[in-house]
Amino acid sequence: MNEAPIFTFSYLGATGIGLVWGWWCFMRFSASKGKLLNRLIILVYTMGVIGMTYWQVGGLASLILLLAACGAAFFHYMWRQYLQKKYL
Amino acid sequence: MQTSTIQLLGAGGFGCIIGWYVYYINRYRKGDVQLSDLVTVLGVIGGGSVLALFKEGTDLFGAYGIGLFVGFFAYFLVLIFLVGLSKNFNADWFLDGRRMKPKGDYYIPDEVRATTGAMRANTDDADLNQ
Repeated sequence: MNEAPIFTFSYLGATGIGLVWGWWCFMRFSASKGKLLNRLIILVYTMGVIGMTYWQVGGLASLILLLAACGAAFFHYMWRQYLQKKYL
Repeated sequence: MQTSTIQLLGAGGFGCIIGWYVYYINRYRKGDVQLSDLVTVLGVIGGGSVLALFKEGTDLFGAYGIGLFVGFFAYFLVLIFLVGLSKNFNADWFLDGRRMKPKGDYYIPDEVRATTGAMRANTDDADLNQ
């Protein structure tokens, strides 16, 4: 019972890292014109981040991180689409 | 294992600085993803590795992640605020960096150094020495 707040805190931290990671991936990917090698490197780095989170907290936190990263990348994509439609 | 408030604040503050710096250092980057991007990766997960110096099972990882999020997106929010405040920039600056040309009484004195990003610092220094 005492561990619940700690794990909640860890999951919040994993969500934070995931949001940063997803946003960074899309920011970096869109700036580098999306070549195959860029995709591969980002994929490898992402595996590293997930592996690190798995080692630190566990499988559920890794899943939360991945979902948060996907959400942030999607939100970033939508935001850029909105800007492009409005200004370009 | 329980962690003290000061430890949590320290881990959170550390993450906050790393997050701010990660946004700053990537803001000017345009080229291919490369090995030097490892700086970012080390910032995001390396910071977590530093926390591994402490006992596992503590909530320092969580504090670090929350701090990272706060620092990273605080930088972004400050950018949005400053762009909104300025008459020389619009939201389209986020797409490709476009801005108004200075006109009228604006001028740039010769002794003022050009604004530069962290990744261009060496190049600019080399230019200055020529």
